[in-house]
Amino acid sequence: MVQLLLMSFTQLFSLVFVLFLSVSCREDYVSNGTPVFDEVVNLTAELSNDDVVELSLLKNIAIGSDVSDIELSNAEVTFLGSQVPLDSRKMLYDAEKRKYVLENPDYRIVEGQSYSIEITTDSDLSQDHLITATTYIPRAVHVSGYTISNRTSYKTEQSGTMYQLELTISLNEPKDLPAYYQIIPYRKVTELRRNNDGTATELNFSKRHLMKIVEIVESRNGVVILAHKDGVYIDQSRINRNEVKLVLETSLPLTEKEILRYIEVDVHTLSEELYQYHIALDNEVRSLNRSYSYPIERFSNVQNGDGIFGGSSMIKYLIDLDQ
Amino acid sequence: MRGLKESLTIHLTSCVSIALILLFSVPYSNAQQFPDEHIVTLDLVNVPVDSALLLLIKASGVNISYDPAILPQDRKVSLSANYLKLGLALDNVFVRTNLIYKIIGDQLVIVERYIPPPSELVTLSGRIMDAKTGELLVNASVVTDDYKYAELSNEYGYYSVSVPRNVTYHLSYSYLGYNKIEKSITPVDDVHLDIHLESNNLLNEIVIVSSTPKISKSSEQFDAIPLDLLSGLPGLAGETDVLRLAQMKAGVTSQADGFGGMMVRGGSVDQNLILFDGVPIYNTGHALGLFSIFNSSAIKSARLIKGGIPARFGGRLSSVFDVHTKEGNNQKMAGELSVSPLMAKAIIEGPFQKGKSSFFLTARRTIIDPWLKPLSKYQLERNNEKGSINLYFYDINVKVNFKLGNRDHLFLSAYMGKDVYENEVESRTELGLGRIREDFDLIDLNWGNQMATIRWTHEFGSKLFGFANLSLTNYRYESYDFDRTRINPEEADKSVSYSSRLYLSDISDRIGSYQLHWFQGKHYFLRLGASYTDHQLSPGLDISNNVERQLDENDFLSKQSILGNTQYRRFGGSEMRFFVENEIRIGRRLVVNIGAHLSFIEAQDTTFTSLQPRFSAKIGIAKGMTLKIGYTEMDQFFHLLSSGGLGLPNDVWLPSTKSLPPERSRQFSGSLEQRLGQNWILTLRGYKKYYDSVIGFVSGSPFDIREGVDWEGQIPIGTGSASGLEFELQRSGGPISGWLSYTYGNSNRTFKEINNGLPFRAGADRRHILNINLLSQLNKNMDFGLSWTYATPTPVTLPSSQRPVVIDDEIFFFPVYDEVHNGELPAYHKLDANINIYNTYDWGSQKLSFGVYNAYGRRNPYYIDLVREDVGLGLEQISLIPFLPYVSLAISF
Repeated sequence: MVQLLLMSFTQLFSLVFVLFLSVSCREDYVSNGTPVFDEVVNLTAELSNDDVVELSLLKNIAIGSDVSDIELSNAEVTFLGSQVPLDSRKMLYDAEKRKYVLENPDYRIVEGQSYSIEITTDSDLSQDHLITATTYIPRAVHVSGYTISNRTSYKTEQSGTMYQLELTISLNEPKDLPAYYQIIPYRKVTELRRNNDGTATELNFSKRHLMKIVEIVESRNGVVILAHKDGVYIDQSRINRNEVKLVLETSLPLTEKEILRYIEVDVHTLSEELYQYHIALDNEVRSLNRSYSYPIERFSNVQNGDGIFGGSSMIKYLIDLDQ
Repeated sequence: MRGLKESLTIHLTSCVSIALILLFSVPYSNAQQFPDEHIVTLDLVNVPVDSALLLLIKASGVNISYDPAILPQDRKVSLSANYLKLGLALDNVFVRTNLIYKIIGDQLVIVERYIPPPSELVTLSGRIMDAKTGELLVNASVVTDDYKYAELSNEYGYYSVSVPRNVTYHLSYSYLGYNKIEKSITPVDDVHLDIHLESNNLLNEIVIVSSTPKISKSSEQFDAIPLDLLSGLPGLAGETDVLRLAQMKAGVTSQADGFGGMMVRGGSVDQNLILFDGVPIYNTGHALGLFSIFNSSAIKSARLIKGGIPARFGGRLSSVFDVHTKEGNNQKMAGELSVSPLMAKAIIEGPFQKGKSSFFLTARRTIIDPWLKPLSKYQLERNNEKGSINLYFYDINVKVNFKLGNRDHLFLSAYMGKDVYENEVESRTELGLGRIREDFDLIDLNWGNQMATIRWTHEFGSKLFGFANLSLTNYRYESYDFDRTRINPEEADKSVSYSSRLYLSDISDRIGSYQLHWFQGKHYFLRLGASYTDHQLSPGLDISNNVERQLDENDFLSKQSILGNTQYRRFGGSEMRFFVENEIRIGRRLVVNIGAHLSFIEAQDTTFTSLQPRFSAKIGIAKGMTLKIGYTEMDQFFHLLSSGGLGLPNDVWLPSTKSLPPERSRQFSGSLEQRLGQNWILTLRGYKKYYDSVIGFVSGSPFDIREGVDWEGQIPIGTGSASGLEFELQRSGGPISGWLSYTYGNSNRTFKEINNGLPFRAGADRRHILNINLLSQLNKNMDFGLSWTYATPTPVTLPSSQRPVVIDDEIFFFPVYDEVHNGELPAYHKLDANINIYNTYDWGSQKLSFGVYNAYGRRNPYYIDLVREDVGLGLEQISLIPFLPYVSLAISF
């Protein structure tokens, strides 16, 4: 009887103990010397030869402060090209896009050229300094060839038929060094339309679906997948023979009309600062979900400000799987 | 004429001598002359020796003859004798002199001791043990009455002391917590003498009263962890812990509540050589460091060496924590059962063959899982989720030992422990338009150590002692995360996707070593040895897997199936280490330990060689005052890559490579110890350390060391330094025991790649730490324990601001860090207290404890978490252990 009472007593105390222990605290951190900072302008501009020129202008703010007022809509933004005569254009704030855009929406940047930005804002933010950044748009690197191998397929109950293949892309020697790329593979939507006469016609549409990169083969760390960007990011100096080998996977939609015939690959040749920015940002994105990781150093090429002013040139390459 | 004159002169001289002798002998006659048969009662306070003798003669009524010329003139005697034997009273008067008494005829005569040349020394050797259990006592003291010959027993209880042949000595054997034994011996030849000391922890008075404190005779600057206080002081949920107690000593700290491990003198958690019965252990924490792997009931001795580290230790930069477990009672069966709100423990020990062999077995396990699971299940159901959380740890210690004849001893020791955390959550969400989403998330973490060692000790004659070791040690961490998402699970168009992630880290050593101890004589003691270690490690294997095809009918992907398809990347390396230690005693005041530690480390076709000089000295400055100085160079083959510096079990041990050389340190240290009266010791210490090739932290993603990954390039290598002052006031030998310690310290690191190359405060930097620990005996059956700690804030890296980042036209906020360790957590302070009640019965004894951890509920922060709120980023402080009362019960039989 005493033993039973003792056991019950022990169990009761264990319960009380666990209840106490479960009241672990999470409370707002009261600053004990949190560093003071000055608000700075944050610029994001990723220029591309196949897209309009636009940039976002925001500001860094203190931890815990109101984020509703971070957009800067009344800055003076001047976009400068390096051509002769000097190409200088004002950028205007587009309230619908919430970005700064050029007056001429057809203006495109040119590969092999440098571009700069000059920004002035309220004196509180820029502290009477001009905010500037410069980037060089590298000349696009083209695909010299490709091989397809190890094609497999398997059926799944929930996703239908899955296709895998190994794609090796060979790139030309880059014209500008160092060289960095972003390669994004897509499955081009192709339907097989049966004709009345029994023949079939392939119809290609502009629609395409992102392919999943299952594996990077033989990369020497030169090819990485980023958490926040599609495709792979490549450091040309760390790959073999300008080749990239990827194992890709895709599923066909449930309609029987669609066939897997074409893969389209976007090859972006990136400016060095744009590459470094996204590699650093990838580290930050991954570490943000882990409470215990050390802080990351971010990348910025904006003088007297923060953010990125970078660019890329892009080519699309169509791969015929039947050839 | 001349011959007669000479004869007369001689005769007259003799007569005068005898007359002088007789003149100074009291003409009291007494039939009883032998000293032990006479009892004296008197008080002497600072009287000259000759006056003391006269008073003893008067008090005892015994004739004592002496030549005044041989008495030390400048010596004063104090003696409080209450029914004391005359012989012992005379020993006290003549302590630290060259005088002894002899019985000549019916006279007691005081003469000078004859000191023969060294060739006429003989050796007394043997083992010092607990009389009741046969446990070997480490660092027990052996000293002659004139303090000219002294020695300490080694880690196997073995002692060897050389004394003059044919000279009578009163030898005193003593050990903290035990009654002193005195033996009178006149050795003719080498003598093997085993000693059995009685504990002064009498069963009739369960309360442990610690003995008079002693200033260590060794030149090492170490802290002997007071195990006699350990069971009385308060602990978390009633569980006292030897590592947590070590963290209360000066110069030692940890993260909040012991999390993350021990930091010594500004060093990081991986820089401590933790030895478990001589075997290195890589991770000493249960429950993230709240408890250590050391079951306090199994510990026989524990020492923390912070400075003047002797040459026999190597492989870590900052300290040596040397823990030895009990061998087991070789006289009779005994045991203990204890239970607290957190844990149940059991001990059983006893002889295989009485006096010759024994075993010791302890096991403990947490017992909160029966409550944790249903409570967590209830909490999840309140949030419309299913599942549960489970958390437990256990460990088992086993030790057996066999006495093989008079000179050989065989020990086998093993340890196994594990921590497990399991979390399963299932939720169901309506997505709208009749679509349902089911999520299942499983997290399975476990980590643990395993250790085994076999040791053979042998006495080669009376002066030479040797032992051989073969050991294995292993630490493994596994983290498995499995997610399954089903859309419309009951419909024909259901879809299922799975993702899994397995992270592994594993390190194993196989070690062989041999040591010789040569007790050459009064002035010289030599240790030398060698060891070979084969390391195998798989650090940071990270396997992620997204599966879209259907799994088996269990719809579950086990970690075994992932492991089976994966190639481990293993690193190997080997270490050979040699050392020599010379301990030289010069006079009575100076002990010098000069040695060297030589290491050869081979890893990945690269060999690192390091010769590390070691020096320490102990100088007796005045009565009760000792100065110690030391210089130590150390190297460390392994590096611990820490997640956020929190000392978590998933921290990765990395080997040295061509690009990642071994870490190195140099330390200058000194201490001054002063005895104050009978019960107090005051200690002041200072140190300065320099580090080279230390590693910094890797930011961002979990560390992945697979083939093709350039992991070495990610690790910054830099330098550091640390310095500090320590103050400790210790009391023992009375109803109140304990200590007060204060530490001032600073520690910094510099890396080219971190903090723009500027120096920053190390994670182990704690400017001021104050500890108070007291154990007070209230009465015969009750004591009261109290611990209070205050530490100034831990450095922490805080974001200076948050920056908006546009990703796919959406704005996300990220923290901006400008400087490392630019902020501080709030100061840490905490009070623990308990009352212990002891009772004895015919069958054994019982101890009932009532206590409280964190008595005033201080919310001590563990870390600062960055959280995503509706208004961007915020900072939250995480504290873990609130006000926590407990009751615990221990029964011994």
